[in-house]
Amino acid sequence: MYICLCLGVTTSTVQQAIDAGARSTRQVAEACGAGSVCGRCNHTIRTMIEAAAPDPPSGKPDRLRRRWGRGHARNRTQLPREPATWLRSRLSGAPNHPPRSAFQTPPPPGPHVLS
Amino acid sequence: MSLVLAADYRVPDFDHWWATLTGDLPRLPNLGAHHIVVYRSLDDASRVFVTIGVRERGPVDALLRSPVMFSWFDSAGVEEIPPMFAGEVVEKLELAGEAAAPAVPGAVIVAAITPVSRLEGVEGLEGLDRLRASVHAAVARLAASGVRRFWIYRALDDQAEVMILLQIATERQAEQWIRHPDAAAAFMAEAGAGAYPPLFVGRLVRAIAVPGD
Repeated sequence: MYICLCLGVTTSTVQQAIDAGARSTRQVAEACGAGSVCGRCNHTIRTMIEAAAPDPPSGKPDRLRRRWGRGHARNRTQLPREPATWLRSRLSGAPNHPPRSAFQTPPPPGPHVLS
Repeated sequence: MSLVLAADYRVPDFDHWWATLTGDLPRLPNLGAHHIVVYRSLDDASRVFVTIGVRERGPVDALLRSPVMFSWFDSAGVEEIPPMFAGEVVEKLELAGEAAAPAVPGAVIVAAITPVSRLEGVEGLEGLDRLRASVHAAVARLAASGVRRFWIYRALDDQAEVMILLQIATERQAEQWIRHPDAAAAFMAEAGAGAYPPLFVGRLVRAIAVPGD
């Protein structure tokens, strides 16, 4: 995936910077340029940095942090850090329908392809 | 072969974005875009998965840094640019028979953008080849479990990264698919790690032909 659209920096390049020791968005920017122009990808870079961090001293892997990072929930356009809330609610017997407003209005007809 | 861009992100106000989407469409031919396909999450009404089909391929990095691309996110109120997948389709399995109907609004979709470098499965193969072999070996099981389409896209920037789009017959079968995934779906375990988005389960909202293309 492309993390930094401004400079076309990919996941693997950012990961290499992190693996080489970058521990902040500034250090990643210095290493590969990602996030150094508009900065709108820095949340993703932070997530990758957090995912690469060692497990906490308790010895228990912090799986939630490794999956989308702690900072994501604070960002209003970010995804939930855990997938399939929908599935959990279904399995626990909770109401299992998505918000009806999501699909109340049928979209107008158009070409229907996966992509 | 057509290039496909994809991103998984949240829009602060889906209805507002949807209402203003037509204003973005006239700019998209500048990207070479011919189709926009929008899926909406079942468990998060603000989460969308969007694919953009691009006919004329130039340098991908030039495409991504286009003002049109940033405008696309700006008009949706998206402040934090999500990671973008850029790739091409390498596998289109139609499991509902030769006369499979095209996906229609409301079709249930499971999507994943994920690395496949650590997949286990067919000996002697690695990454994407291993994934494809395991999927081909599981076609009958996949069809029986409700999978209607199994499309695999290979990333241009990383040969061991894929985007997978599954169309599944019903929401219930999608649930079963995730709860008891087939061995061919080992890729799902990698979704959500690091920069990769969590597994997306949603419905097709609409496929839009870009006017003027």
